[in-house]
Amino acid sequence: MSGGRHAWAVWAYRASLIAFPVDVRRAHGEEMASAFAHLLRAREIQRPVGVIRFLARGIADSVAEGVRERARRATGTDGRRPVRSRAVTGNDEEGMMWSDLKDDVLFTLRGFGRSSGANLVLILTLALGIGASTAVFSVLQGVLLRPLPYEEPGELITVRHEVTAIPNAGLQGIPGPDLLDYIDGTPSIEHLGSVFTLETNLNDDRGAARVTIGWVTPDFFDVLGVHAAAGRMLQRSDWTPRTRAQMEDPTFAPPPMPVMLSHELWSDRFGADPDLLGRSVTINGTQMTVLGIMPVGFKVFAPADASISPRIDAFSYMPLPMTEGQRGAGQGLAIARLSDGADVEQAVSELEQVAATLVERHERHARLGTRVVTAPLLDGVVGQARTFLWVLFGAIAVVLLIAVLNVANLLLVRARHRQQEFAVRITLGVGRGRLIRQLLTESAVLASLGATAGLAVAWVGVDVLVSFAPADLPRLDTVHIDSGVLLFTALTSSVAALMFGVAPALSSTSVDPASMLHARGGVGSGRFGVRVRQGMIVGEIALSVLLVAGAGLLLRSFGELASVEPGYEPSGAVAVELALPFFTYRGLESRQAFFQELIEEASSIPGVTAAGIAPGLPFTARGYAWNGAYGDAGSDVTRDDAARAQYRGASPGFFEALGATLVDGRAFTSTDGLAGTELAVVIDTRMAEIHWPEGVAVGGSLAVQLGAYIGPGRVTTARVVGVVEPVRYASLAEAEPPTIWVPFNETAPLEAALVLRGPGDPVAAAAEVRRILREIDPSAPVYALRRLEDDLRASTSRTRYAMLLMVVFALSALTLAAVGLYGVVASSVQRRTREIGVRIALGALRRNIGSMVLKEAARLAAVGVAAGVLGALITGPVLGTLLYQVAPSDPLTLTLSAAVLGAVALFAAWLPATRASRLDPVHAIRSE
Amino acid sequence: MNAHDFLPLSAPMYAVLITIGDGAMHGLGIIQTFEESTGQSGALLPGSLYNTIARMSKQGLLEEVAPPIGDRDDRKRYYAVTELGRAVRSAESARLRTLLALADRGGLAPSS
Repeated sequence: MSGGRHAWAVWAYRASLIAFPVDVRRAHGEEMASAFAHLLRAREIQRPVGVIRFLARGIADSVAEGVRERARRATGTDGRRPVRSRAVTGNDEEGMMWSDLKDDVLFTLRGFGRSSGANLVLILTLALGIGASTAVFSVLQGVLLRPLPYEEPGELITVRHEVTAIPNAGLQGIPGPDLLDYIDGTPSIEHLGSVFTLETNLNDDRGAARVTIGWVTPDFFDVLGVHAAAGRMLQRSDWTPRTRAQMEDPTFAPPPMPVMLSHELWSDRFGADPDLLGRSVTINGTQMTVLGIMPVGFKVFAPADASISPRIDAFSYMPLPMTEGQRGAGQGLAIARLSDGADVEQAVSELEQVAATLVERHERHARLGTRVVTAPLLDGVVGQARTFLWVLFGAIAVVLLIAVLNVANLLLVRARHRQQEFAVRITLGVGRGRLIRQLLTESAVLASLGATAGLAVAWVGVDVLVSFAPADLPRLDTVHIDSGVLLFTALTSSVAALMFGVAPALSSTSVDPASMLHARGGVGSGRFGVRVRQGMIVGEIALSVLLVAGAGLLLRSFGELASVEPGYEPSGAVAVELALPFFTYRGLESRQAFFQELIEEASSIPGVTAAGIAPGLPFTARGYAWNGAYGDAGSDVTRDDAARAQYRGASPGFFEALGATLVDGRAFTSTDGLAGTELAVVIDTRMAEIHWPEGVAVGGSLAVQLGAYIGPGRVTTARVVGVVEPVRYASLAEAEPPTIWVPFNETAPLEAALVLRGPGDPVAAAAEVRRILREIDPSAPVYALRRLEDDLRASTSRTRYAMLLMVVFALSALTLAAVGLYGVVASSVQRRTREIGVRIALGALRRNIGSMVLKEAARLAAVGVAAGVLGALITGPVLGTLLYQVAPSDPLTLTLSAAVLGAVALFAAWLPATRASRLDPVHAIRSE
Repeated sequence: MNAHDFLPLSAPMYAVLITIGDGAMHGLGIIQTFEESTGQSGALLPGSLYNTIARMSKQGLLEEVAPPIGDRDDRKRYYAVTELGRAVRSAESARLRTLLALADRGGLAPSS
């Protein structure tokens, strides 16, 4: 694109060329814009300020020259016929329509030149309103409305299991054997495939790198309809599932597996080497043969709770066996493609039929209470962002509406001043229709200029919205201004033009010329116009209340969220995530030894006061936990009605490094969780309150169920050695379920996070950890240095984003409403100057005059505020999940919003009221 | 039309006439050459320059000519100075020289 990264500047410059007469623009517009782009590039300006300065000079130059050129032509100094005077002409004949239109546009533009200040305000108001709503719409379009980038994306649905026996377990993936049953039992589904992702290592002669591998079932690529960019796609014949015995056999050397690399990994790591095809790479400790390269930018879009990494570097077939033991809940996400012409309901009922059969036939499904849950893939991907974005879009639409009302209001005032002009023209035989058309043309020109400038605003606005967007908003990279967005802008500005054009056009041309010509200015100004303007102000105030109340509710929610104690101390702690290669660390002891050494070495890094390991970190995608049963020691926890708790792992030093508070007893030691010892657990205070409401938990014992998802899990008796404060992992807004912490060593999973407390320089600490890891095992890469503070902050980013935008929107609305009210009151004072003069002359107290004006404003404000509060009560619930600990009808917020609006309204009316009370009666009575 | 009817020339018009010289140039080329030879950047901006070119063409001071062989960018239009344009350029140059000489004589024109 011309202008490269400063395309918006070239765009704005191009818009300014409208100042030139159309023939100049047609002949030279392209060259002007491309010359501008060239000069901008050649100057190599880095800072936006410089670009804006150069842009401002360019625009000033073309506007000045354009106006000069128009003036030359109008005055005939160029030897051309001047544009004929418009004052009294006008013709209703059909054939004249278009030339009239052209004349009207020219007339309007010249008029704009005359009163440029006022028009600049109107155009800016529209530009900000239209621009901001275009920007928000671009995000809405990119995230919510744009189809997913697959073949026939409307035919894709997600298929997941719900485990009804475990409350709040969330939706689960479908394990292999169940998936095969679904494939067999659903004629309405053409393809059904599943994927799950694993962060692992790629090793080559340059060392280890962290990659994400996507394990897929044979149908998965058929579901999405993907074609290889080079080489070929995986085929069913490439698939050789392993037996469980092979997987668990430490001496088993797996044969090379087929793999597809992402185009990005192929280019970045292998320099897009075409000879890589057919060669082998080592991923996850396994030799893999590269069969083909995925298309550029290929992504698996999945619901956030399916834990699928958006960026997948390599795809291979699931090595897992599809044995009966796996039935129930699995990892990842299954996606189905409907057969041609099949309808969704048919497919869903077939899936439900299969699920019912599974529950009948398999004891494990019966115990879990398995249900199948489907949803359109796009719905799942978009998730909660839907409400969030529609709320923001609704809010910006309200701001735009207020802006349009304001413009209408100002145009009504202007129309009133022009009534005499119109009266003259009607007397001279110009039809009313012709005048209305001229006024509507003026509105259209105004709206077009507003929309053009608005696009420049939107261009910048989209960047701002995207760069500050919460991290969990999906598909942000598809957000841009495209033809759909432009259509939206065109439609919006056309509707806006009608809205702010019609009332002034009707009111100012509905004059009786005879009375108008005789009357002194202002007397015959028509109750219609005044009523409409008052109605508009009431509407503006009511809409502003909505936005202020919305912003207030979000501010309070955010305040509540920010004051929640997370149960640990995020500042001063950093973490590094790591993943061990599967085949090297298949044995539990090898993992325990690795992590033990890592913790010891990391504790001795200078400055580090505590170091510990856990399977996952708070507020990250991998906050690994499982849901299992527990009960009194000796009780049968495999019964369906057994109480449930959340289980998490922690190593020695972890609570201290995290900054969690130990209330009683002790934390884990390095011998906890090793084979042959009694299982020690630490419980949180919620668990302690439930199970030992009065007594002392430490020293007590519990029956616990470990690893509940794979088979019935291991049931054992555990000794409570300590009690900690609850640590919030998933959400600040929701308390964690009662939690039992088990020693990390109990499972020592391949993926884990090392937390360090105290290192002054996190980056140096990470380098230290990297060095330590290289010494222990060079094949294990460190990745993702995280600050716990950042993760905690990111968890509230959606609320913060919504709050900031709502505050900005509400302030804009307040400003617009204040300007509008000021305009109405000021013009009412002006209209009543003579009346006020007479009152003062007859002895009215000046302060009574002031309060009379204020009362008029207060009446409008009161009606507006009342309507607004009512509206806020009705629309409040749409904020729904964005609110925390605040009801949508929160009386304090609504009262404060009403008070803010009242105060702003009175302030806006204050100036005209003061002016009215200071009128000199002599001048006032003589005034026109 | 008499060359003297155009005097005095506006600064951009004179700049265009002396920058094109006896060759042919496109608009962007005029801007770049002028910037290089005067060391002033931003003295000519696209909006006013192209409009000036359009007017000068209409007045017969410039004419559009075929692009030189080898320039395949057909969006760029090349202009050369017409006979009338040369006459106007000479007349304006003479006028300016007279003025400058006058200023020199009074010691009013700094030499650099």
